[in-house]
Amino acid sequence: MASEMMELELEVNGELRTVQVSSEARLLDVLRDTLGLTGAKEGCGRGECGACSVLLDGALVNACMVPAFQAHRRSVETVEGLGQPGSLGPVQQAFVKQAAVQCGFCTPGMVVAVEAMRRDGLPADEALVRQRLSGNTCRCTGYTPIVDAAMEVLEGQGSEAPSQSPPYRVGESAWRVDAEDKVAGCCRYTADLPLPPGCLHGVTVRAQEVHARLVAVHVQQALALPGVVRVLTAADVPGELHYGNAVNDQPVFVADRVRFYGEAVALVLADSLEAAKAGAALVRLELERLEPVVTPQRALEPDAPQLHPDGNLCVDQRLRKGDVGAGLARAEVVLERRYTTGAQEHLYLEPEAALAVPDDDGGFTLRAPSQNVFFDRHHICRTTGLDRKLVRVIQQHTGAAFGGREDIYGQIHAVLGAMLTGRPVRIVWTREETQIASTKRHPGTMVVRGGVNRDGVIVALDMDVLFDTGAYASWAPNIARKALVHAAGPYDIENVAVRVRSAYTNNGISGAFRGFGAPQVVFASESFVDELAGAIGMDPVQLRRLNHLAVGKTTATQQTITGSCGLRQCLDQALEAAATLDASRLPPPPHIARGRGVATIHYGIGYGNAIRDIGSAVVELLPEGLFQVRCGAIDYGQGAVTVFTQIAAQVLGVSGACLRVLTGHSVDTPDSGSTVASRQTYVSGEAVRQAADRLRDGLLAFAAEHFAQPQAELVLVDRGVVDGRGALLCSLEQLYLLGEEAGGRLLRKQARFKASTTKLDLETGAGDAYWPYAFAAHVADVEVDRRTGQVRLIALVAAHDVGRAINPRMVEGQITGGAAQGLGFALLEEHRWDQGVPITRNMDTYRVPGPCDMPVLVPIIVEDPEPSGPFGAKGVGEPVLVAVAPAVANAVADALGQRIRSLPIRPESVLAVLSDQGGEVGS
Amino acid sequence: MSRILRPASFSQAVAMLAEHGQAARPIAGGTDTLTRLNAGAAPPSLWVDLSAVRQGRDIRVQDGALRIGALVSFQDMAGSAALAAALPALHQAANIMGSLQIRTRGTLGGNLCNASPAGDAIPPLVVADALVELLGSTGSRMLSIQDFLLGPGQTARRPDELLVAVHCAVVPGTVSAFVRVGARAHHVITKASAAMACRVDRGILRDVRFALGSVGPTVIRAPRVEALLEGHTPTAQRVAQAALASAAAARPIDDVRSTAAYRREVCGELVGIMLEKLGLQVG
Repeated sequence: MASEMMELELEVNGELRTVQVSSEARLLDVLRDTLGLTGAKEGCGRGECGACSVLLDGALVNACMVPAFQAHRRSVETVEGLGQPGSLGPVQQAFVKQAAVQCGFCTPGMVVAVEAMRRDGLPADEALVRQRLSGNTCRCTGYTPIVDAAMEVLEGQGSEAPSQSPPYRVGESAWRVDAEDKVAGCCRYTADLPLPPGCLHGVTVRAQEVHARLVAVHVQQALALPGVVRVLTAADVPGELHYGNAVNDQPVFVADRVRFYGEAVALVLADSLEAAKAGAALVRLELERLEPVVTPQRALEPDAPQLHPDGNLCVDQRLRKGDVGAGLARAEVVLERRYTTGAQEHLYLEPEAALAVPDDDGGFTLRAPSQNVFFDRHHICRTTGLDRKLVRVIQQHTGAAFGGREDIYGQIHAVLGAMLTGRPVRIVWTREETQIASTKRHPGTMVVRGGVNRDGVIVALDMDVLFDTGAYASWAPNIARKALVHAAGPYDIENVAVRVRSAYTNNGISGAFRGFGAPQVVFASESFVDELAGAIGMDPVQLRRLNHLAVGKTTATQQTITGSCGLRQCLDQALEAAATLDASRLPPPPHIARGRGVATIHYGIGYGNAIRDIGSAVVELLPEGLFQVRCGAIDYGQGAVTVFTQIAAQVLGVSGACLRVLTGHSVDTPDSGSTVASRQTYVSGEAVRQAADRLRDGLLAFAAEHFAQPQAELVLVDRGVVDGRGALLCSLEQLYLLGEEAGGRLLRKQARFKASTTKLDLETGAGDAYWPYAFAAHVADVEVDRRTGQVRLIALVAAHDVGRAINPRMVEGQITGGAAQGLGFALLEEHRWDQGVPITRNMDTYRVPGPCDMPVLVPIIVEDPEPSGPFGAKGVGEPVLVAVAPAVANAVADALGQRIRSLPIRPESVLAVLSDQGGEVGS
Repeated sequence: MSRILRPASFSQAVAMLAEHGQAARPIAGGTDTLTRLNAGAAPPSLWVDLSAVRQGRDIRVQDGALRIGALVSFQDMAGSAALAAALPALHQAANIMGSLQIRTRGTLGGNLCNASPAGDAIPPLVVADALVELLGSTGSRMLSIQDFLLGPGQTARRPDELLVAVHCAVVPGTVSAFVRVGARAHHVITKASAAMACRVDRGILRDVRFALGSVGPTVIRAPRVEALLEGHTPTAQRVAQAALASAAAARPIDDVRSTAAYRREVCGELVGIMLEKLGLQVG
């Protein structure tokens, strides 16, 4: 190949470089693969996400959109050139200070984009900043802190802001522990890892049929291609062919039947990515087309093709409280409405990736993004037949997850490839593969019947839910349960009936996504509550207040609320904040209709249903005089490492500099369950607190005895153990040695904390479904353009009862980020299929909110402490997203005087409603 | 593996195209080209890379004429006060096309040669009666922009020709504007757009030109809309009639971005939105 290479000269970050590249290389390939500058990321390969933004002759460009040959004799600046940890540039510093970093995958591109603004002398005008940032997508932060960082830079206030993090103490907005690495672009995600010697590249062969019988896979032509080493198919799977989160129904490779468009049939392993791609194109699939099933309604018809041995009904769960029939018969006003929601893609910016390396002991180490390394290991062992002692799974820095990384993508394929070839294997998906083959939020149809009396008592609520789980179950039963429990909203209603079914179809795969079944049903019930209020002429806020849960009230699962319940504070504070927004607004022009909507929610933290919900952590003193927290939780951007640092530092009494946190490692960290269900701050945070507490007590008791001092007077500090007069008794290194001599047991403490729930009754759904519950109230203000049907969310007040904010700035980051995804779910995002063939295959057709689509965001933190949580904390990750869509939908209904019951609320549906006088969509 | 040629001038580039025929493909900012390559399209055997060409990079307003070089980027147009004065519609389109990253790379010539039905630069040039200048190995020719654009991805450019400049007259007193509707506020592909140019003589519209983008295989000039507005003040009734004509002129389709019905309806509304943007009271 060398003869076909061409020589380019570039100035990269001020250094002259000469490189040999192929004519097909892009500037991004030169930077990442040839020069090892992996700060710029590939998120879409389409110039849509901006994660690869660099400066070319000082101008902002997407490095994925520049042919390498066009960069010849030009200057390129990447994030690495703007500063490194310890010597960060002004933009990087502002990002750290303003908490503008979460998963960090968009960060290098964002930093470069803001650097371009700084050099251009852009005025510090927020609207201009947002417009200039429109080529950069962030899926975590909701843009607020990024815009704050840009404003700080442009206002030239950098020097006035603190140059040191607030202390790592509970309640302080300490800086993210990994922020410096992330803003400097030196934080490595799986695709950034240097290729190990001999590494093979894996490219997946995907069926381009929606539903078909697989007759044969012809691999000879591919194998004949130079560079292709092996082609894996179902026949190569040594262990169980099928795996799955709740049901083992998904094959590692299709063996006999293709159930969704893009399903993996084979994996081509080759010496180069080019050869692997070319090989994949040469694998010929012999397929016999079968009738596709493209709606869950069709799936349940008796003559529908059956997609699995047990039929198309994957889940059927029920809940019953009181007598809903009698309640409806008795109610003064009864309504029936039908609501629908679309498939939503997580669109975490880091596409799926996996790197498997054979180890000397005959085992394998897999590095990949993940939400649970122990689950990944389980699925890998089950399908490869490897003993779990031989499989090490390490969560690499992860470019966000949102529930989407609870499923298996390339992990099994990579380990299988390494196992069968004895060579390392790397798999990196394209954005199109992610869009086609990763899980989506279940599309839902919710038929609601409910009755209310004119005094505002909701007497009965009946909801029938039908989810489309797609080709495989993933978490369908668990998601159905979350929907079941949350369908009736945060209300004590005497008579409730809910049925949730989930049906198999040929529409991709549905799985876990922030909210886990609740966003669909809560959109329905919170819209419905507004409709009930309208029917009896009552203010919808008043109707909510009259029926709200509170301490002593019972939920739809007949669970009595005790402990933390900040629902009323959330609603009061949200309404108060919203009232102050009105004052500054001018009346709108005639074609604009304004509206306000409210939604209130409860949201169960943790797995619920008596599933083993255990947080586990080790806190230990190391020989080098550092404390280390080890916990199997995952930090994929939400900030678990920083939260654990703050909790441990608070308990131990040392500074953040004295602490190290290790997470997401299947050998070195204890299994602390999945990083899902908004549970890690609550369960693992409490395990860290307890372990740190025991460690500190044990160490001080030991020191008291050793130095013959009263224990009550001793404290741990960074320097070591000091006595009541502040005199140093020993350093932490000395303490370690003394402890080791004494047997070492006091140097390491482990704690486990179990969330307390009960198993729901199969017939009635009764039980303590989840514990604790987070509560929230959102107030949304929208403007609807009657001419174009466009809905603009102009303001969102989001009040969240989180029990206790361990790090308030990071809680706000969850709120603004969740608001952006909720806004997408409400107004913009829908992954669509045409007869099972996906049509929204990249970010140019699957649109997510950009910086200019965001409203004025007012996050409010309410702290009603939860006695069982660490320092009173509960969780916040998912509830934010759940409340946005119903608040927005209620605001649109308020603006138009007509209701749209189908998400997303597209301008197309708005105009259809407006032109079809009096007609309604979705009922 | 493709070979790369780096001409220093348009005439050199044209000579290369003539020599290598269909095997050669010119590339300027590469934004549309790379989108296709990244999606798996095969590269040509020969690139004629226009990066080193110094010509065609300026916007000139002289003697009542506007000339924009084909290699002028969208960001250059967005920042050009001369363009803002001479053809506001194009200046506005340049400011909202794509993202900053795309505007920095994307050129006017590339946008026109890509001939996307959703190309934002096209309607403003149609209402300016623009001509494109094509340079071939045997000389140059001028074509009206509408004769140049034949359909989605299809133009009248011959393989040995390069689009080197766009020309239009700058008529004193002429105002113009561009409006569009997309799925989100910025960095979005247009669902429907319109450009309009006219003179306003004591409240009366003269020399009205109105074009629709993204609602047909290529840009649509709407003579019926123009005729309804020509010589009149934009009364509510007249605007309503023009809106109906605009909707009728559209030839939209259902696709992944929107529906034909929505696009048609919006094309009607774009008339009023346009007049509002031009600062013309509808009364």
